[in-house]
Amino acid sequence: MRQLSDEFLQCARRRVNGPVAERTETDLRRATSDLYYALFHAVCGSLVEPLRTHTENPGFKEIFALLYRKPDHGRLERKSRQALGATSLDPRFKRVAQQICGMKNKREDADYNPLAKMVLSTIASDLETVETVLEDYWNADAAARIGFAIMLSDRELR
Amino acid sequence: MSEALLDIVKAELGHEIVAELRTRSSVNRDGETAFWVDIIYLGERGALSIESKQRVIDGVWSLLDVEDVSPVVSFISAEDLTLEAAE
Repeated sequence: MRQLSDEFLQCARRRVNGPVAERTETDLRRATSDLYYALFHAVCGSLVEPLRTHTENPGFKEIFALLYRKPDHGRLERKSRQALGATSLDPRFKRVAQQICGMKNKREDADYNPLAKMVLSTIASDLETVETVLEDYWNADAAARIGFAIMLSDRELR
Repeated sequence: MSEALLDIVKAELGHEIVAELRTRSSVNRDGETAFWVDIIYLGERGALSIESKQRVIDGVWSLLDVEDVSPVVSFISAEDLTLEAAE
């Protein structure tokens, strides 16, 4: 369930590490956006982890899509901040929550603010950090990871 | 606030490497407030270890009231700003 998240990371890597002469401002903006979406789809993918079985059943597909699309960007940011207050939160999940908040705002700047300055060292640093926190995220216990994803996606949990 | 932030950053990264700290606030499209902390460091890109950067992020998060504000921490090599100014 991590394929999309991994592919967003690969896209960011290609854009940041490509030939200097060919690297554009757009590459840096898109890389920033890719990093946020790698985090976002990691949470979405975890929500559907319990549904491992693949089937062509239309009802199954509907439930899969409903669960996968449950995270909402604004709520994800708020819940990530709240999650940091949970004393029992695994540090690996704490770092994912921190990066969701940071990268969501950077992604908005990259995508919507024409005056934002994209700096290679910042984006290369963000790439290294997001790669590391997501690797730790996927290495965590699956049940705990799914519980964390539900916590960030639950409409009622305040 | 800025002085406390600077103390945390310098304590984690070393006084000699931190050139400047820039902070600002913004409200994003979801109505959430973001507090941006740009840390400008001396040295080449990639000079900071992932562990030291994580400790700085933890320190910034511990200092802010994250019930209401999302901390957004960026590490910027002074080398990049020099190149930018030269362009």
